[in-house]
Amino acid sequence: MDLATFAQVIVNGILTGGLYSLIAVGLTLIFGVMRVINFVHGETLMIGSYLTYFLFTLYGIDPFISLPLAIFVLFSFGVAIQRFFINPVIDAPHFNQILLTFGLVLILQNLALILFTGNYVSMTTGYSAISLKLGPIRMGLARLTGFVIAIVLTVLLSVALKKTEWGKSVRAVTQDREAAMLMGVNVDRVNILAFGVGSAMGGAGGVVTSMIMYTFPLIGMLFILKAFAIVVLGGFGSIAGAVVGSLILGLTESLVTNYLPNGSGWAEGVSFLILIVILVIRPKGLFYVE
Amino acid sequence: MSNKGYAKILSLLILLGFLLFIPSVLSQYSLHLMILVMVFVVIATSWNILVWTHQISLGHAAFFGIGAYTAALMYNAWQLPIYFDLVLGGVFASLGAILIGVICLRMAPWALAIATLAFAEAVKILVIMLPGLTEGAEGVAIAPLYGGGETAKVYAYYLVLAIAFLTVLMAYLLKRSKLYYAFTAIHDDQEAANMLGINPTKYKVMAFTTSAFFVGVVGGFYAHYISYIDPHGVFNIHISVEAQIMPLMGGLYTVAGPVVGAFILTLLGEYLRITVKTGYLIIYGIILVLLIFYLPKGLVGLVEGWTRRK
Repeated sequence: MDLATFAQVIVNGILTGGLYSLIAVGLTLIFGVMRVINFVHGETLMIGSYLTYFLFTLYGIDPFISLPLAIFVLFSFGVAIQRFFINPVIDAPHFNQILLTFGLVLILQNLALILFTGNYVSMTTGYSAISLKLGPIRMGLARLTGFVIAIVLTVLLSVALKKTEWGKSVRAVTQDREAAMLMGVNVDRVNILAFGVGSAMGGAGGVVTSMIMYTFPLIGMLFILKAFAIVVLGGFGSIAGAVVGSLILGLTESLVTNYLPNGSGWAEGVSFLILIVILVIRPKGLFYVE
Repeated sequence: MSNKGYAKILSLLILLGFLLFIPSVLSQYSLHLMILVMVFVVIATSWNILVWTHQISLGHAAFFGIGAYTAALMYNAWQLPIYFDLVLGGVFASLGAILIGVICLRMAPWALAIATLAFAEAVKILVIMLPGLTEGAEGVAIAPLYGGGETAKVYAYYLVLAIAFLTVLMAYLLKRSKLYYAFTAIHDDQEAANMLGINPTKYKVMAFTTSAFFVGVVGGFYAHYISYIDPHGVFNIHISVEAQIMPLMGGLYTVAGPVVGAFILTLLGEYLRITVKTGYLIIYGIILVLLIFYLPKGLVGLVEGWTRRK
């Protein structure tokens, strides 16, 4: 085996893992607090990526400037979804919640299909073609920046969860909703904020996706399936688990793509395989928080 | 039996007579629609059985696809009478269900929902990636059912009507049997059911396998009827979505609900597909959201509410 290629494959895997973690961290945050299977989460990525694409192609706004904007827009979007759709069914059976978020996905996806057509679109920024060389390893500048954005946002969120009043409430609700309520935590507020922050992370994921790959109306479904696999892998509700799960998935996909015959086709299935294997050997995930 | 009971049986007989009679008056296209309706009656009814045991599947397309592929590949290899293919399609789909069952039926309902979704995607990728066995992404062509043509369509209709009839009959008998009490006990409180000596896993796997079997059979029928299948078509996530939304619209926990839902939504879906074209599924999404908020018991629940009030 060629060592340089191997190193390149590993680096690619880690960079992809970073992108996955942006999406998975938000999803696991929302699940931890509300125990809701949120399919809409993939659509926050779709909205974020189209937002970035149109701001760039129509007004020449750089993705770096779109990033805070997307975070703000998707935060508001998440708050609205929580307030008007999820909250009314928060005590309904899981079943109703799953179908509700599925219904919202159908609406958003098809709205995008009607507005933007089903075509794949991608944009070319001034730094799209630049790649850095580190010895034998090449890294696309855009991909590397995407990775850095992912790391920075995840670290910020972790710090917020550890240090701030809101973060402590979030962790309290994640551990035991009833007890948190009895201790005077305003659960409604925690829910709304967690949904907003989680959606904002998804939106940031969208900004990064449009920088490094392409976007299309069904892109949310592509990522949400992987994100679910990651979240199950890492343990529902665990931020650290989501990050580790993302890296595992990114690395595995990269290795499979490069070292198996027909690898890129098989790589698409790796997340599901990992998911099923983890469910067998450790049904509650690697980092389950009780 | 009460008057109401007789009225119910009489109306069912009239409905059945009507369904047996319509091929002679319907156009080829309308008959095609009725065939699709029957396919979805089977899918929706089977899916609804799972709900009785408090399980959610987001991956019923997997069983449909497995049935379709089994039937198509078996037929192309050995040209057995198609009834063998259909049953084999059902059996293979059931094997898939047992596999899922062993892996994850002890999980929480939400985890099962995700696992079934992943299962459907995983099977699709297997089919695409093993072209030696399945002909891959290109799909499989099969000789048309009963030689094709106008009369063949009528035969196809009667065949799928029979499958749908058996599925609904099975659901009806299941609902009146002792098994249903076990199912309901599991649905209401799994721990308590366990203590009373009802083994939840056994009954859940049983419900899952039964559900998958009928979907597999109708998947096999679909392959023969449409005479060409490909992985993206038969493992399409929209089949799994329809499987949920139809029972929900008609009324969960009832036998009539999924049938009503399948009729309305198949016909509505076809109408929208032709008139709206791009993004017509948005209407499905809106219906789904409205149902969850305003009509969680479905149309059958609504009608029962009315008759009870009188």
